[in-house]
Amino acid sequence: MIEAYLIHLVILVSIYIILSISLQVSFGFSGLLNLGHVAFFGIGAYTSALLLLSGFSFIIAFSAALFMAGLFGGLLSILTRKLAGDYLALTTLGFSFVTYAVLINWKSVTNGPLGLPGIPRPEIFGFMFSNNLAFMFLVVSSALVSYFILHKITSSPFGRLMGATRDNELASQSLGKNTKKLKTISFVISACFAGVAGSLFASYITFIDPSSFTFVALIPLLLIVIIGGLASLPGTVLATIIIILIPELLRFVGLPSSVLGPIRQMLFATILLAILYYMPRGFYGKVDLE
Amino acid sequence: MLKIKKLTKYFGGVKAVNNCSFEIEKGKITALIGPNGSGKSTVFNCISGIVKLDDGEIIFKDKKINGLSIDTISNLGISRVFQTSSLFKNLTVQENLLLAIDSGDQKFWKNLFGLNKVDTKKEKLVDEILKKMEITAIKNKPASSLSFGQKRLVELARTILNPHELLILDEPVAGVNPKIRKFIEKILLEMKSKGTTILLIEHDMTFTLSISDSIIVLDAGKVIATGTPAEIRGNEKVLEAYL
Amino acid sequence: MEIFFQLLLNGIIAGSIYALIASGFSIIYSTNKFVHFAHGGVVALSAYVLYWLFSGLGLNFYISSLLTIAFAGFLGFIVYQFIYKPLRGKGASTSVLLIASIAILIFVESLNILLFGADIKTIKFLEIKQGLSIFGAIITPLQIFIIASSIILFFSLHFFMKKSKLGRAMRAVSGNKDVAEIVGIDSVKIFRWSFIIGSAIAGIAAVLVSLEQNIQPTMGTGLIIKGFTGAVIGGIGNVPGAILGSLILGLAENFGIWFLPSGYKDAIAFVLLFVFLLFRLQGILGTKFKKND
Repeated sequence: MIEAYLIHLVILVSIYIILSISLQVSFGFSGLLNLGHVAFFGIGAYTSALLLLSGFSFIIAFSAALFMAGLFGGLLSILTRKLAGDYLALTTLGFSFVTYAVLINWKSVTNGPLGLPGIPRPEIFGFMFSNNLAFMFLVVSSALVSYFILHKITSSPFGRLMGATRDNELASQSLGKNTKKLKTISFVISACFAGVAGSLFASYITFIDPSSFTFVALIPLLLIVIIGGLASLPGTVLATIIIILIPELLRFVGLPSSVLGPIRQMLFATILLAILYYMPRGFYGKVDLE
Repeated sequence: MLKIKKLTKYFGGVKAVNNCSFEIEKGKITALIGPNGSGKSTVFNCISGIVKLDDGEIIFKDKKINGLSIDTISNLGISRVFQTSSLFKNLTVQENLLLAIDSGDQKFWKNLFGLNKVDTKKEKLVDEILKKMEITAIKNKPASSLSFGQKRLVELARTILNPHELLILDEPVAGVNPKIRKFIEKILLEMKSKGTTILLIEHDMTFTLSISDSIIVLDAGKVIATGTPAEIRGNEKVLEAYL
Repeated sequence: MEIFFQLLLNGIIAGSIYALIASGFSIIYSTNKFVHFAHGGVVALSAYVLYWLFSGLGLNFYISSLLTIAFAGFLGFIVYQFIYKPLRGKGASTSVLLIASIAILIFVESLNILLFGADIKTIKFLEIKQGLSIFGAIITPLQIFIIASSIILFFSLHFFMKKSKLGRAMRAVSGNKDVAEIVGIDSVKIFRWSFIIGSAIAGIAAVLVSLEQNIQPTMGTGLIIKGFTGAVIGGIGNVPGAILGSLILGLAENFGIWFLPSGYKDAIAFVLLFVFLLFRLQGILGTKFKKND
């Protein structure tokens, strides 16, 4: 039984790692205050789930999730090209509200608040990942590959340019850099990986509904990204592990689940406020939060 | 090389630049001077593409550049130093400088697949200019930790590394100590001898008069005098404007 | 034709509720220059305090309401004094304060669930009276009262901001904080008062919303989104704009569901918010967001 629980934790943490490092890429590395990240998670989850439920293979569903999330990321980025700071934050937050409203109301497609049950586990080249242990390997490899790709990009000259755009966009432009394009690419990458996380999430839980994709889900993500340290991928991974595991430990304190949920949120909110005050740079961050 | 024609710019109800026209000769150092509020920085911002003109034209090497984006203008060969520090504060000095010469950094796929290896040639160029500016020691320090003078030097180095034919410098020696000021003067004269055209704004009159080939005087957004340092020194209109 | 008037009336009622939220929010925004999303949380917690005082302790309704409004103002003070002010002191940008306000909102809503449970509560004070009929549309006395409240609030705030010493000081700080300080205005005091007053108005909103609708732990989120949208539509820097924008929002929502399924009501608000933030940042009455510090 312990084994099953540990496998569950590893899967959960791995999915969240993909979700949070992708947010770090746009938030900490590129300086884009994207508060709508959860929307891409949801778009990825629903795209993947709908395709799987229509009989398409997992590879197609997964790729489509990546693509759709990236597409919307690109659209949102192009629309918000002229915005920065607060305005960008609020507009991206507004986007996540719109996405949620669509998920809840477009009943013919998303089944509204009732959600989509019975999402099949992945089958890749004939191998069924219905066993949680097998699925764990799938998710962990996805997380490793995602980390590797994002690490490659952020430690390359392109990553350097992201940092320059974050630190002083005007100066970057004065050096001949097309920062608008760079910001869009960052946004798209960020959204793509959120979509990947969404696809894996949908296939793991086998049931999704809009309530997993409200802006409340943003709080642990923001907390992770800030506490781990802005522009630090390793810090983000460490923070994900800690932040996801803490509430799990709370289970053992023996509180009823009706109490566990709100306490978890209150804990996150408090820690976030504390971090904003005491260590806005986070633990491994190289960049100040602005 | 650079022609400003009837440039006009309003900010709210105020005419910051008022029907301003002048020309910059290739290969020379020209200074734009004038009392505070005379529109000098606005003219620079118009040239760089940061601010849109309300009227007039800016012609660079026979090509109209007003209305183009900031990065396009930079890529046409205009390189700029800003009045306030514009270094990338979380990046190291080396990274700040590499950005100026690595145009491959914008290519996403190349970078993802590791095809944009950091050119040893580029790193060498950076080392060379660090050596020339005598700031090799701070190569790996984050830009935020530098002293004011060091920052100015790094900014100048970055602007010089950025491929250019025209350098526009907004108060390059403001607030730096005399040693660094002399140093910057030396660097600028060296660049001129290599064929670079320089346009600068400065309030330090000694510096300006000693380094410039030509001076343009602005007052209330209009050109009130142009000429050599000697001519300007004795010009009554100029003296009046500054008093 | 009756439908038209009913929708018009419903729109005005909804708009009036949003206006109550938006005006308090706007007072805080225009003075402090950052988005205090947690304003919704103040409304929600105050609603629960009303419930506790009235239904729990059995106090007289009017006394409970007054205490609720006082509590709301006090809560606003606490949030400013112990969270925003220290963060500001550390040089936090408006974006950081925005994130903090979202954290506070989530905290308060979770607190509501913890203390009062997740089920819906209602205030049984007014009996369901027969609604009056105007041009064939039905409106209850409470709803008339809500509309009247927002009209009274509009004029009171207008008078307050223009004529009272505190109101003028708030406008001074809102316009140019540094200049205001030079002429001797204690900006910290003004910030504090803007939170107290804005939050007290949130308390009034809490009382009326609790009567008209019901009390849920996450009611704050929905209300602040609507209020914020109203403020953005009307022009976020000013209070009359917030009220105007809220009315427009209320009308847009209610006429919108003439054509769309009723579940899309919230979606209309979100889309309007999104569109205005993208294309008309200054709203209808034209006051732009102030730039970041």
